[in-house]
Amino acid sequence: MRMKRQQRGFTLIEMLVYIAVFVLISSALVVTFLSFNTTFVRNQTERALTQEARVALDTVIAAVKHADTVDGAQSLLNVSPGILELESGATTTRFYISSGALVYAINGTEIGPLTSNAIVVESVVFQRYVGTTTDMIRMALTLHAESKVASSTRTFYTSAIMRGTYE
Amino acid sequence: MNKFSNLKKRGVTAVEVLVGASIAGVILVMASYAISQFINASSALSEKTQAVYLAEDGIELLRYIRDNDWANIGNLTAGTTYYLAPTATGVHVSGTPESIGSFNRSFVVEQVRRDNSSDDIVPSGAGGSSVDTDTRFITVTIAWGNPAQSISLTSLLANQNP
Repeated sequence: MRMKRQQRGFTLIEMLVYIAVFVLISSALVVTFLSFNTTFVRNQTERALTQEARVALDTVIAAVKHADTVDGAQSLLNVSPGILELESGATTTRFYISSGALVYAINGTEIGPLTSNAIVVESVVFQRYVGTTTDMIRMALTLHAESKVASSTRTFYTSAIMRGTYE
Repeated sequence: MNKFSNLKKRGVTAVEVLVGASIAGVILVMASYAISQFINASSALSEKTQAVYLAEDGIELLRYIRDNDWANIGNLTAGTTYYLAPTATGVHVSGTPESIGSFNRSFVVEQVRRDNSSDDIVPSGAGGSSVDTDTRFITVTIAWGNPAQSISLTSLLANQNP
Protein backbone atom coordinates (compact mmCIF):
# COMPACT_ATOMS: atom_id res chain seq x y z
CA MET A 1 0.00 0.00 0.00
CA ARG A 2 2.81 2.43 0.89
CA MET A 3 4.43 1.76 -2.43
CA LYS A 4 1.19 2.46 -4.18
CA ARG A 5 0.68 5.72 -2.24
CA GLN A 6 4.17 6.88 -3.11
CA GLN A 7 3.53 6.15 -6.74
CA ARG A 8 0.30 8.07 -6.58
CA GLY A 9 2.03 11.12 -5.07
CA PHE A 10 4.53 11.11 -7.85
CA THR A 11 1.86 11.04 -10.54
CA LEU A 12 0.03 13.94 -8.87
CA ILE A 13 3.08 16.15 -9.33
CA GLU A 14 3.23 14.90 -12.85
CA MET A 15 -0.39 15.84 -13.27
CA LEU A 16 0.34 19.32 -11.94
CA VAL A 17 3.22 19.71 -14.37
CA TYR A 18 1.07 18.36 -17.14
CA ILE A 19 -1.79 20.71 -16.30
CA ALA A 20 0.60 23.66 -16.11
CA VAL A 21 2.03 22.79 -19.51
CA PHE A 22 -1.45 22.23 -20.90
CA VAL A 23 -2.66 25.60 -19.59
CA LEU A 24 0.40 27.32 -21.04
CA ILE A 25 -0.03 25.75 -24.45
CA SER A 26 -3.77 26.28 -24.63
CA SER A 27 -3.53 29.92 -23.55
CA ALA A 28 -0.79 30.46 -26.12
CA LEU A 29 -3.05 28.83 -28.70
CA VAL A 30 -5.97 31.08 -27.77
CA VAL A 31 -3.76 34.18 -28.00
CA THR A 32 -2.45 33.03 -31.38
CA PHE A 33 -5.91 32.48 -32.76
CA LEU A 34 -7.13 35.80 -31.43
CA SER A 35 -4.25 37.63 -33.11
CA PHE A 36 -4.95 35.66 -36.28
CA ASN A 37 -8.45 37.08 -36.19
CA THR A 38 -7.17 40.59 -35.50
CA THR A 39 -4.73 40.30 -38.38
CA PHE A 40 -7.45 39.10 -40.69
CA VAL A 41 -9.71 42.03 -39.83
CA ARG A 42 -6.81 44.51 -40.10
CA ASN A 43 -5.94 43.08 -43.50
CA GLN A 44 -9.55 43.39 -44.58
CA THR A 45 -9.71 47.00 -43.35
CA GLU A 46 -6.57 47.99 -45.23
CA ARG A 47 -7.69 46.20 -48.36
CA ALA A 48 -11.12 47.85 -48.27
CA LEU A 49 -9.47 51.24 -47.85
CA THR A 50 -7.09 50.91 -50.80
CA GLN A 51 -9.77 49.38 -52.99
CA GLU A 52 -12.22 52.21 -52.31
CA ALA A 53 -9.48 54.80 -52.80
CA ARG A 54 -8.53 53.29 -56.13
CA VAL A 55 -12.09 53.31 -57.46
CA ALA A 56 -12.73 56.89 -56.30
CA LEU A 57 -9.42 58.32 -57.56
CA ASP A 58 -9.50 56.53 -60.90
CA THR A 59 -13.09 57.59 -61.59
CA VAL A 60 -12.39 61.25 -60.81
CA ILE A 61 -9.14 61.20 -62.80
CA ALA A 62 -10.82 59.63 -65.84
CA ALA A 63 -13.52 62.32 -65.71
CA VAL A 64 -10.93 65.11 -65.35
CA LYS A 65 -8.92 63.83 -68.32
CA HIS A 66 -12.11 63.73 -70.36
CA ALA A 67 -13.13 67.27 -69.41
CA ASP A 68 -12.75 70.54 -71.29
CA THR A 69 -13.03 72.85 -68.31
CA VAL A 70 -14.15 73.32 -64.70
CA ASP A 71 -17.31 75.20 -63.79
CA GLY A 72 -15.71 77.54 -61.28
CA ALA A 73 -19.03 78.90 -60.00
CA GLN A 74 -20.43 75.44 -59.28
CA SER A 75 -17.20 74.05 -57.80
CA LEU A 76 -15.81 74.45 -54.31
CA LEU A 77 -12.02 74.41 -54.56
CA ASN A 78 -9.24 74.39 -51.93
CA VAL A 79 -11.57 73.45 -49.05
CA SER A 80 -12.92 70.22 -47.63
CA PRO A 81 -15.41 68.84 -48.41
CA GLY A 82 -14.81 70.12 -51.92
CA ILE A 83 -17.07 70.06 -54.95
CA LEU A 84 -15.81 69.57 -58.49
CA GLU A 85 -17.98 70.25 -61.50
CA LEU A 86 -16.46 69.35 -64.84
CA GLU A 87 -17.71 70.25 -68.29
CA SER A 88 -17.14 68.02 -71.27
CA GLY A 89 -19.09 69.29 -74.27
CA ALA A 90 -22.70 69.47 -73.10
CA THR A 91 -22.12 67.00 -70.26
CA THR A 92 -21.46 68.13 -66.72
CA THR A 93 -20.00 65.76 -64.16
CA ARG A 94 -20.17 66.73 -60.52
CA PHE A 95 -18.28 65.16 -57.59
CA TYR A 96 -19.29 65.95 -54.03
CA ILE A 97 -19.61 64.52 -50.53
CA SER A 98 -22.96 63.23 -49.31
CA SER A 99 -23.30 61.53 -45.90
CA GLY A 100 -19.66 60.46 -45.75
CA ALA A 101 -19.46 59.11 -49.29
CA LEU A 102 -17.99 60.58 -52.46
CA VAL A 103 -20.92 60.85 -54.88
CA TYR A 104 -21.06 61.79 -58.53
CA ALA A 105 -23.79 63.14 -60.71
CA ILE A 106 -24.04 63.58 -64.47
CA ASN A 107 -26.08 66.46 -65.87
CA GLY A 108 -27.61 67.01 -62.43
CA THR A 109 -28.76 63.40 -62.00
CA GLU A 110 -27.12 61.59 -59.13
CA ILE A 111 -25.49 58.41 -60.43
CA GLY A 112 -24.40 57.07 -57.07
CA PRO A 113 -21.62 56.89 -54.52
CA LEU A 114 -18.04 55.97 -55.44
CA THR A 115 -17.27 54.82 -51.90
CA SER A 116 -19.22 52.26 -49.89
CA ASN A 117 -20.51 52.72 -46.35
CA ALA A 118 -17.65 50.50 -45.12
CA ILE A 119 -15.45 53.58 -45.15
CA VAL A 120 -15.84 57.29 -44.42
CA VAL A 121 -14.47 60.09 -46.59
CA GLU A 122 -12.80 62.27 -43.99
CA SER A 123 -11.68 64.94 -46.38
CA VAL A 124 -11.63 65.69 -50.08
CA VAL A 125 -9.92 68.76 -51.51
CA PHE A 126 -9.85 69.79 -55.16
CA GLN A 127 -7.30 72.26 -56.49
CA ARG A 128 -7.14 73.87 -59.88
CA TYR A 129 -3.91 74.88 -61.57
CA VAL A 130 -4.50 77.25 -64.48
CA GLY A 131 -1.42 77.10 -66.66
CA THR A 132 -0.34 79.05 -69.73
CA THR A 133 -1.71 76.37 -72.06
CA THR A 134 -3.28 73.62 -69.94
CA ASP A 135 -5.56 73.38 -66.94
CA MET A 136 -5.05 70.82 -64.21
CA ILE A 137 -7.03 69.38 -61.30
CA ARG A 138 -5.36 67.98 -58.18
CA MET A 139 -7.23 65.94 -55.63
CA ALA A 140 -6.39 64.94 -52.05
CA LEU A 141 -8.65 62.25 -50.64
CA THR A 142 -8.51 61.10 -47.03
CA LEU A 143 -10.34 57.87 -46.26
CA HIS A 144 -11.00 56.30 -42.89
CA ALA A 145 -11.90 52.66 -42.33
CA GLU A 146 -12.83 51.36 -38.92
CA SER A 147 -13.68 47.99 -37.40
CA LYS A 148 -13.74 46.72 -33.81
CA VAL A 149 -10.07 45.76 -33.75
CA ALA A 150 -8.52 47.93 -36.44
CA SER A 151 -8.77 51.38 -37.93
CA SER A 152 -6.86 53.05 -40.71
CA THR A 153 -6.76 56.56 -42.15
CA ARG A 154 -4.88 57.26 -45.35
CA THR A 155 -4.57 60.23 -47.69
CA PHE A 156 -4.20 59.71 -51.42
CA TYR A 157 -3.08 62.35 -53.91
CA THR A 158 -3.67 62.39 -57.60
CA SER A 159 -3.81 64.88 -60.42
CA ALA A 160 -4.70 65.12 -64.06
CA ILE A 161 -4.52 67.68 -66.82
CA MET A 162 -7.86 68.25 -68.49
CA ARG A 163 -7.05 66.86 -71.92
CA GLY A 164 -9.69 69.18 -73.43
CA THR A 165 -7.41 72.12 -72.63
CA TYR A 166 -4.79 70.91 -75.13
CA GLU A 167 -5.49 72.60 -78.43
CA MET B 1 -1.94 -3.52 -9.91
CA ASN B 2 -2.75 -2.99 -13.51
CA LYS B 3 -4.06 0.45 -12.71
CA PHE B 4 -0.81 1.50 -11.05
CA SER B 5 1.44 0.08 -13.69
CA ASN B 6 -0.58 2.21 -16.08
CA LEU B 7 0.10 5.23 -13.93
CA LYS B 8 3.77 4.41 -13.94
CA LYS B 9 3.69 4.37 -17.71
CA ARG B 10 2.04 7.75 -17.61
CA GLY B 11 5.00 9.05 -15.67
CA VAL B 12 7.17 8.36 -18.68
CA THR B 13 4.85 10.40 -20.87
CA ALA B 14 5.75 13.54 -18.86
CA VAL B 15 8.95 13.74 -20.91
CA GLU B 16 6.90 13.23 -24.01
CA VAL B 17 4.66 16.06 -22.92
CA LEU B 18 7.65 18.34 -22.53
CA VAL B 19 8.88 17.36 -26.00
CA GLY B 20 5.38 17.94 -27.33
CA ALA B 21 5.23 21.29 -25.56
CA SER B 22 8.50 22.44 -27.06
CA ILE B 23 7.35 21.42 -30.54
CA ALA B 24 4.08 23.28 -29.99
CA GLY B 25 6.10 26.25 -28.74
CA VAL B 26 8.21 26.33 -31.89
CA ILE B 27 5.07 26.13 -34.02
CA LEU B 28 3.47 28.99 -32.08
CA VAL B 29 6.56 31.17 -32.48
CA MET B 30 6.50 30.49 -36.22
CA ALA B 31 2.80 31.25 -36.35
CA SER B 32 3.23 34.58 -34.55
CA TYR B 33 6.08 35.44 -36.93
CA ALA B 34 3.75 34.68 -39.83
CA ILE B 35 1.10 36.90 -38.27
CA SER B 36 3.47 39.83 -37.94
CA GLN B 37 4.42 39.33 -41.59
CA PHE B 38 0.74 39.43 -42.55
CA ILE B 39 0.28 42.68 -40.65
CA ASN B 40 3.29 44.20 -42.36
CA ALA B 41 2.06 42.99 -45.74
CA SER B 42 -1.36 44.60 -45.34
CA SER B 43 -0.02 48.03 -44.40
CA ALA B 44 2.76 47.68 -47.00
CA LEU B 45 0.06 47.17 -49.65
CA SER B 46 -1.71 50.40 -48.66
CA GLU B 47 1.53 52.35 -48.46
CA LYS B 48 2.60 51.14 -51.87
CA THR B 49 -0.75 52.18 -53.34
CA GLN B 50 -0.32 55.64 -51.82
CA ALA B 51 3.23 55.81 -53.20
CA VAL B 52 2.17 54.81 -56.73
CA TYR B 53 -0.51 57.53 -56.78
CA LEU B 54 2.04 60.07 -55.56
CA ALA B 55 4.46 59.03 -58.31
CA GLU B 56 1.72 59.32 -60.97
CA ASP B 57 0.78 62.69 -59.49
CA GLY B 58 4.44 63.70 -59.86
CA ILE B 59 4.58 62.68 -63.54
CA GLU B 60 1.37 64.60 -64.25
CA LEU B 61 2.68 67.69 -62.40
CA LEU B 62 5.84 67.55 -64.56
CA ARG B 63 3.64 67.33 -67.68
CA TYR B 64 1.82 70.44 -66.51
CA ILE B 65 5.16 72.21 -65.85
CA ARG B 66 6.25 71.15 -69.36
CA ASP B 67 3.01 72.52 -70.85
CA ASN B 68 3.61 75.91 -69.22
CA ASP B 69 7.06 76.28 -70.75
CA TRP B 70 9.40 73.64 -72.14
CA ALA B 71 12.35 75.56 -70.69
CA ASN B 72 11.11 74.59 -67.19
CA ILE B 73 12.08 71.01 -68.00
CA GLY B 74 14.61 71.49 -70.80
CA ASN B 75 16.87 73.76 -68.75
CA LEU B 76 17.17 71.37 -65.79
CA THR B 77 20.60 69.81 -65.30
CA ALA B 78 20.64 66.15 -66.32
CA GLY B 79 21.32 63.73 -63.49
CA THR B 80 20.59 66.26 -60.71
CA THR B 81 17.88 65.43 -58.17
CA TYR B 82 15.07 67.98 -58.16
CA TYR B 83 11.85 68.30 -56.20
CA LEU B 84 8.33 69.49 -56.88
CA ALA B 85 6.80 72.35 -54.92
CA PRO B 86 3.02 72.27 -55.41
CA THR B 87 0.86 75.03 -53.92
CA ALA B 88 -2.90 75.62 -53.99
CA THR B 89 -2.74 77.29 -57.40
CA GLY B 90 0.36 75.97 -59.15
CA VAL B 91 3.57 74.02 -59.01
CA HIS B 92 7.22 74.71 -59.74
CA VAL B 93 10.51 72.83 -59.66
CA SER B 94 12.53 73.39 -56.52
CA GLY B 95 15.79 72.35 -54.87
CA THR B 96 14.11 71.84 -51.49
CA PRO B 97 13.14 68.23 -50.64
CA GLU B 98 9.41 67.59 -50.75
CA SER B 99 7.67 65.41 -48.22
CA ILE B 100 4.00 64.43 -48.30
CA GLY B 101 3.10 62.79 -45.00
CA SER B 102 5.69 60.04 -44.54
CA PHE B 103 6.59 59.99 -48.25
CA ASN B 104 9.48 61.81 -49.91
CA ARG B 105 9.23 62.70 -53.59
CA SER B 106 12.06 63.58 -55.94
CA PHE B 107 12.77 63.41 -59.65
CA VAL B 108 15.69 63.21 -62.02
CA VAL B 109 15.85 64.40 -65.63
CA GLU B 110 18.03 62.59 -68.16
CA GLN B 111 18.99 63.53 -71.70
CA VAL B 112 17.71 61.50 -74.61
CA ARG B 113 19.77 60.62 -77.67
CA ARG B 114 18.29 60.04 -81.10
CA ASP B 115 19.74 58.32 -84.14
CA ASN B 116 20.77 60.95 -86.70
CA SER B 117 19.03 59.27 -89.64
CA SER B 118 16.02 57.40 -88.16
CA ASP B 119 15.33 59.76 -85.19
CA ASP B 120 14.78 56.67 -83.02
CA ILE B 121 15.72 56.96 -79.37
CA VAL B 122 19.00 55.11 -78.83
CA PRO B 123 21.08 54.26 -75.74
CA SER B 124 23.65 56.83 -74.66
CA GLY B 125 26.97 56.22 -76.40
CA ALA B 126 25.39 54.85 -79.58
CA GLY B 127 27.25 55.94 -82.69
CA GLY B 128 25.70 58.36 -85.20
CA SER B 129 23.37 59.84 -82.61
CA SER B 130 22.98 63.20 -80.93
CA VAL B 131 21.19 64.65 -77.91
CA ASP B 132 17.59 65.67 -78.56
CA THR B 133 17.11 69.01 -76.81
CA ASP B 134 13.32 68.70 -77.12
CA THR B 135 12.95 65.38 -75.28
CA ARG B 136 13.80 64.40 -71.73
CA PHE B 137 13.55 61.15 -69.79
CA ILE B 138 12.16 61.72 -66.28
CA THR B 139 12.18 59.40 -63.27
CA VAL B 140 9.95 60.23 -60.30
CA THR B 141 10.93 58.42 -57.10
CA ILE B 142 8.85 58.03 -53.94
CA ALA B 143 10.75 56.90 -50.84
CA TRP B 144 9.21 56.02 -47.49
CA GLY B 145 9.22 53.81 -44.45
CA ASN B 146 11.61 52.07 -42.14
CA PRO B 147 13.16 49.85 -43.49
CA ALA B 148 13.44 52.24 -46.42
CA GLN B 149 11.35 51.45 -49.48
CA SER B 150 10.97 53.23 -52.75
CA ILE B 151 9.24 53.06 -56.10
CA SER B 152 10.04 54.87 -59.32
CA LEU B 153 7.96 55.75 -62.36
CA THR B 154 9.50 56.94 -65.59
CA SER B 155 8.20 58.86 -68.58
CA LEU B 156 9.40 60.68 -71.64
CA LEU B 157 8.53 64.36 -71.88
CA ALA B 158 8.69 66.17 -75.21
CA ASN B 159 8.52 69.81 -76.17
CA GLN B 160 5.05 70.40 -77.61
CA ASN B 161 6.11 73.50 -79.52
CA PRO B 162 9.67 72.86 -80.75
